[in-house]
Amino acid sequence: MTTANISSTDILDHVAPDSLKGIPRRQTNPARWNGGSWGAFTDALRSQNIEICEKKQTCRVYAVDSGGLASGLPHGVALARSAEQISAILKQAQLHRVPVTVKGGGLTTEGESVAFGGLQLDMRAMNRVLSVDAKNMTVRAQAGIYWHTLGEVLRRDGLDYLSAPLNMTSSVGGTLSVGGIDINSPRLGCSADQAVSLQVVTPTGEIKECSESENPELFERVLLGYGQFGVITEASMRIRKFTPLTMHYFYYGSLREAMEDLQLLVRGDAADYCGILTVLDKAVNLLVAFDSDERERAFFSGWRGRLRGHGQLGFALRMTWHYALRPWRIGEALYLLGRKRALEPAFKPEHHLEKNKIVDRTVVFSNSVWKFWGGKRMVIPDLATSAEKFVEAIERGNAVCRKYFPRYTLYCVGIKLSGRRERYELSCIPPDAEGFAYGCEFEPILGGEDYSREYLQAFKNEIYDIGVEMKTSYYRFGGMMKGYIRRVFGDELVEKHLAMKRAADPAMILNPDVIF
Amino acid sequence: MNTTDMETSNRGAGSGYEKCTGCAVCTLTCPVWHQTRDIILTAGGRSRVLQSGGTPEEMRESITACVLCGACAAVCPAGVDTVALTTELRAALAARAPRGSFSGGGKPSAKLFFPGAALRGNGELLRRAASLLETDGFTLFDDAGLSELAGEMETGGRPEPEELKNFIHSMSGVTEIAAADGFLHRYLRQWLPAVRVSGLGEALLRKREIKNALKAGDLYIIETRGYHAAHTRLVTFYDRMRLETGCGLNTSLQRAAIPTGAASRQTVGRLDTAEQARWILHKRRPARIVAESVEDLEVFKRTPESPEVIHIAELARIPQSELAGTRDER
Ligand SMILES: Cc1cc2nc3c(=O)[nH]c(=O)nc-3n(C[C@H](O)[C@H](O)[C@H](O)COP(=O)(O)OP(=O)(O)OC[C@H]3O[C@@H](n4cnc5c(N)ncnc54)[C@H](O)[C@@H]3O)c2cc1C
Ligand code: SF4
Ligand code: SF4
Repeated sequence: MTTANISSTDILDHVAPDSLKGIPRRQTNPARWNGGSWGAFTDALRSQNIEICEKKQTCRVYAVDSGGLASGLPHGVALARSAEQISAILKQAQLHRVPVTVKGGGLTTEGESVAFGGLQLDMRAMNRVLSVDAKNMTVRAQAGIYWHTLGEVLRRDGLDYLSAPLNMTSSVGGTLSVGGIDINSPRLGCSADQAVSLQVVTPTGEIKECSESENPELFERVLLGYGQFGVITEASMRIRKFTPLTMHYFYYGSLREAMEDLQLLVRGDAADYCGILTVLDKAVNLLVAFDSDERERAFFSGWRGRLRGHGQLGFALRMTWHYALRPWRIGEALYLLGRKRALEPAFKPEHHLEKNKIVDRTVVFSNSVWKFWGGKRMVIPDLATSAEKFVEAIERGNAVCRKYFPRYTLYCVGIKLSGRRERYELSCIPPDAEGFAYGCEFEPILGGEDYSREYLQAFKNEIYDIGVEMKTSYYRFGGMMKGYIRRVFGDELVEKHLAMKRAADPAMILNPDVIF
Repeated sequence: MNTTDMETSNRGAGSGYEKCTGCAVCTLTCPVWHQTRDIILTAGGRSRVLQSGGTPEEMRESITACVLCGACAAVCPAGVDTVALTTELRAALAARAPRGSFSGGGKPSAKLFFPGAALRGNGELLRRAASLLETDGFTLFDDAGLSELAGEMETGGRPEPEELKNFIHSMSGVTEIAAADGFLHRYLRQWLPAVRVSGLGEALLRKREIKNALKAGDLYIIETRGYHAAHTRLVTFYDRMRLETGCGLNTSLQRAAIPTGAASRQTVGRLDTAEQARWILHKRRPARIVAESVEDLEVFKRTPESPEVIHIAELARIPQSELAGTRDER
């Protein structure tokens, strides 16, 4: 049977509303596209001088995303070169009903950027900065560019982007498609909200510019759109002056207190950067950082006294006392100590310090993230909640982590919302969030342990179930966990977006297995 | 899979490629990536191809594209020895007989200066560098054989074990080597673990007169291979030098050194060295460029955007009468 003989609904809408009820929820990859019209598709593209690499060894390099658990194999790979090339690809893909899966940095962990057959479009080949407008403080760049490369170019002008994942190899286009959270998101919002205008190739191959004033519907659909409504090929974004920053850590023994204090700082705009990073739920670190000495001074005079966190020495004394009374937990104490000894210098390397300020924080954080948390398999389920639900949801998630893993980390941040935006509908921004949303990643440290896929999936399910029960959202939104989207948001909303998707992408070829 | 395939696909095993997570951090510093944007041509790409059962033959283009600058090895969070990976894969492709004699000659001394092929080809600079190092007790060593070996190792050759033993033996009593060819540093450290190995730049920068001659408007071009081979130590060394002198460096935000790729002895390479020089100079307006390596010096001299370009050995004033004799011609 070729795909041409069956309706797109049968092929692609395979997650029915209740598909997860009554069956053991296992991690599942979508069925691989059968490749029926691949030959005709590639012939048509090659006749237009578009290069498609079908070498097995190349396709295999694209088999997984950063999660390492969803495994697919494209029939071929195209390196994105221009909007025109992508337009030609998408037109032929519509004609021949060939799935096209877009990959930026590929830092998804639920297989959202993995191609289960069809064409993998690697956006990273479009990675030029096109123009820097220092007067209006905007930059125009090709969307496959890594944030790091963008930062590298902007730095030559003493400039910087606003906010981006603490991960150097995520791309601008991929991030604008999913959200993008930084430790300055409580002040500056998610990365998607920095976009001023975009060039987009629609699923039917039209090249369109969009912004709040030009094609605004497309703009709102594509931002936080998980690649459903078009391929972002260029982006104009707001930028700022580069500043080194001063960073301070406050230590908590109570996760709840740290979360409450984080919310206090976020609401009060008390710091330029803030977030929580934990070692288990025992050493809970509230980090705050500042772009200027004035802001730092204002924090210490107005806010520090209201925080319940300790300085390093005070916390060390408390921990010593805590474990002295519980000698049977010496293993845990030693783990905490070892982790502290390893992490501290990594987060403050001498060559990234100038006059005691951190220079290039993303490099410092990203290097540490990969070194201490990275691996071939990364399981990072998360919850995105309104302010009201934050503490309860994360405490419940923490309990799940404790149940499954001896070692784990929580990473929590606040996200400032920019009013009510259409782009927030059916996205990582929870529907009931007002003013701010909060997110938490639950990351077990897998180390050398050989956890089964079922075990890891059961853990993820328990975290995701909290989202269903509490009606929150998820930061990682789609791919193998897309079944949760209907459960959290309800059929009506999903059907509404599915209808929009069908209208924009009649053959349902663009990132077909991500959301619907 | 036939036996040859089996044998060759085992190559790279010493590099720890199996640890590669595919994080792509190595692409950020890779000049080949910078110019091609093709993941397959990077260290991460090669590691992933090997992980999924690919053979060196299937990666020929990727293996030859690398300029062995070592920037990826310095930043890889998983600790993959990406330089070893590429050289091992090249060895698998070349399947060459090991190289014979490469021991050199010179006055026995505890501190030796290995000038390398490029500096030996420039008599004036060689005399300057040798004179400057001579005052610190270094003796110029005839390393022509070693340079040839380095050239072969870079393209897939390896030393004959007996000859290597002879070389190691000939170095007994040596405590320090300043080697201009950064490619050799990792091997010299492996072969001679008790010997302190530094690059020409590092050795010269220890001299106050050289460091004092660097100015705030200078752009200092670090020789990349040696720098990345001891990145953890040198990143601090050069960062301090930058703060002390105010000069700029050819480093990226990750504190890797951006290479021109000119030192590569791989002839089938696809790197455009002029484009690399332009990227290093992008939005920078240095008053002067100071290069550690002769190869980089030549690239910048050819680049129209360059201001005055000098070699580090030209930073100090040496009266003609005090220039080291004609050791290079002996
Ligand atoms: C170790 C690690 C740390 C992380 N840290 C953070 C963090 O601090 N903050 C944070 O927000 N996230 C973080 N993430 C998640 C990840 O960084 C984000 O998902 C990331 O921004 C996605 O960017 P990407 O380029 O990797 O996108 P991809 O993974 O390549 O793609 C994401 C989605 O967008 C689609 N897409 C990609 N490019 C385009 C395009 N040009 N046009 C249209 N659709 C496109 C893809 O098909 C896919 O559905 C982390 C992930 C890992 C593995
Ligand atoms: S940096 Fe290291 S782990 Fe990451 S892709 Fe490159 S080789 Fe692999
Ligand atoms: S050694 Fe240099 S050229 Fe080769 S892969 Fe690494 S960074 Fe790229």
